[in-house]
Amino acid sequence: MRGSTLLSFALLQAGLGGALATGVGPVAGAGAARTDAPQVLEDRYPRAAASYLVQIDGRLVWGREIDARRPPASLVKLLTALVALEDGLDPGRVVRVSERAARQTAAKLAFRPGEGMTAGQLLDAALIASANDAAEALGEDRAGPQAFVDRMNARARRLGLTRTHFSNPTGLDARGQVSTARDLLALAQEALVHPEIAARVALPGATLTTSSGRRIHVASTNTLLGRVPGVRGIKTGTTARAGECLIAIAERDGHRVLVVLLGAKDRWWTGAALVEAAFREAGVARVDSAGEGTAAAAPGAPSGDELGGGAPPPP
Amino acid sequence: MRVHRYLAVMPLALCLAPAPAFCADEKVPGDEWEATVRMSMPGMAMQMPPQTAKVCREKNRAWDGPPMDKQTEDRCKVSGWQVSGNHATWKVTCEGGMSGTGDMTFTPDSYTGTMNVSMEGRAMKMDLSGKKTGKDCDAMENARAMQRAQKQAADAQEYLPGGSKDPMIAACNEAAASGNRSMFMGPGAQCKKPEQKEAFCKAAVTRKAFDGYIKEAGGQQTVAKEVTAFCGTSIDFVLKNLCADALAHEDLTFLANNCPDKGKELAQKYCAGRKFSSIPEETVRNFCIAYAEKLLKK
Repeated sequence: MRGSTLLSFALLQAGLGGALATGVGPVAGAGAARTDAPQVLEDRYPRAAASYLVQIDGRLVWGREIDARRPPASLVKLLTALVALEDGLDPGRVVRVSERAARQTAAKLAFRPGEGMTAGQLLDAALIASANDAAEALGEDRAGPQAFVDRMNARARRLGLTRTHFSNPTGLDARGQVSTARDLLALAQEALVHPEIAARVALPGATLTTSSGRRIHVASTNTLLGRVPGVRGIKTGTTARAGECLIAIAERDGHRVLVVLLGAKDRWWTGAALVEAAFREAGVARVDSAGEGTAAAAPGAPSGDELGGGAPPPP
Repeated sequence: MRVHRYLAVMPLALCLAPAPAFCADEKVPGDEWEATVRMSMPGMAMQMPPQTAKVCREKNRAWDGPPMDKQTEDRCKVSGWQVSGNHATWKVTCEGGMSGTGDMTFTPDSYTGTMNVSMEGRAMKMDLSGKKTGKDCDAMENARAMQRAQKQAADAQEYLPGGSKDPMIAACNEAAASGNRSMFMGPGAQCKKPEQKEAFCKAAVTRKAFDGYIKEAGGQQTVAKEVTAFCGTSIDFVLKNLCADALAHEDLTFLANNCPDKGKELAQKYCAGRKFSSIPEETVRNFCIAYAEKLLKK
């Protein structure tokens, strides 16, 4: 199983082995996120994003418009992966990419129709590089396009994501595709319970191989990885309607911080600032040295992360 | 019994001769000797056991003094050393008013002799004997060992800050210099001298020490407030000066941790318009992150 081998190797490179040993990785289920609603949160950082929230050690502390429905962009892929895995995805099985999947817009691996890749590597591509063609192929493989979306929405309902509806497995802008910062936090927490997801979203990159032997190196779209100490993933998303989106998890000294940004002006500076602020709030001093994953500065790192500037961002 | 106590050092580690000119790393071929001293005092019924030591003496070295160890040499002055054939006599005068005479007979491989000394009317006799063991040795080793011991003692003395011989004072001086508050503040404080507190407070209001207090409190100012209050000042006053100093020295780490709002110009220089991923220097990135946080609040 080539995908697994690559994953294990990259896991070591990312320092995740140590992270898992210290209890980082899968987090408590999503239930906890729902029990603290409704509440008025302090909007300490009004310029952070159109909608944002910060959770420290399971407690929501700051937020803005956390129940406002907004396009979730590629954050949707967390549910795509979750449903595929819970549906019994065999990571070693080769999945043929349909013409429909291959037609997906960027970000993508640019599959040729009929080209194959193991399901495990498609999961890598969807979660690490946010590849739309990979996410679509996974959905088609499990149930067909619409049936898979139905399963996603059913799973969202079971998770208690009451203000969420998904229209495709990719997160590309589509009618009726909405979620909220609070719902996406719950989704992230549930996704991180699965080691297959927790491990992948922490990777700085991976090298994938199609059935035709084409090797593709993908870099994580998460610029915080390896640059902000303690960050372990989890997912980025960007579309014209959604703007810059990010869910980030970070752990230091036994404290866990989760940040959700929807429609951020600059998710990297903002995400890093909120992570640091949250740890300070938790009584954890700033870390002077990353000390982990410093090699994770992925080649081809996403653009659009200027402080006070902005080029088109990645998905 | 002062006489006894004083003389007791004499038989130990006998050099059998004064050390030749000492060259630190040079080995001097020597013969190993077994030297024995048996002390006795008139009126003492019980005999003291003989003391024996293995010592090294430079090969073929002529007898130019009595067999005494270095300590005895330092404390006693030998005079009237006379050699006639294989027999030698001498006089000895030591610190504390002890004095006496000695004589010995020697061959190339052995010697025997006596020393009679007295102090404050009390006499003591030492029977001396020695013989070669047949083993070779380094005649400089004893001198080297002694020099090492002296150096260690000197180093230990130098280790104490301020040249103090009192370990507690030394520890307080050291804690003061590093701004270590635990020795000065709280119920367990052990350093109470005004000059030590003054030194501590001087170190406590440096950027390094202040940053340490902030980290100690997990990024909060609680500890720094306690320290500044202890030193009779306020955190606002101290921080104002330190931030100005950090600004002047472009100490981005201090600015990021303690006064990001003071670094507007530096933020323009280092952060404005820059991509998050384009700043490899952690110090600069942390400063810019802190500055970004400030911007998000507006």
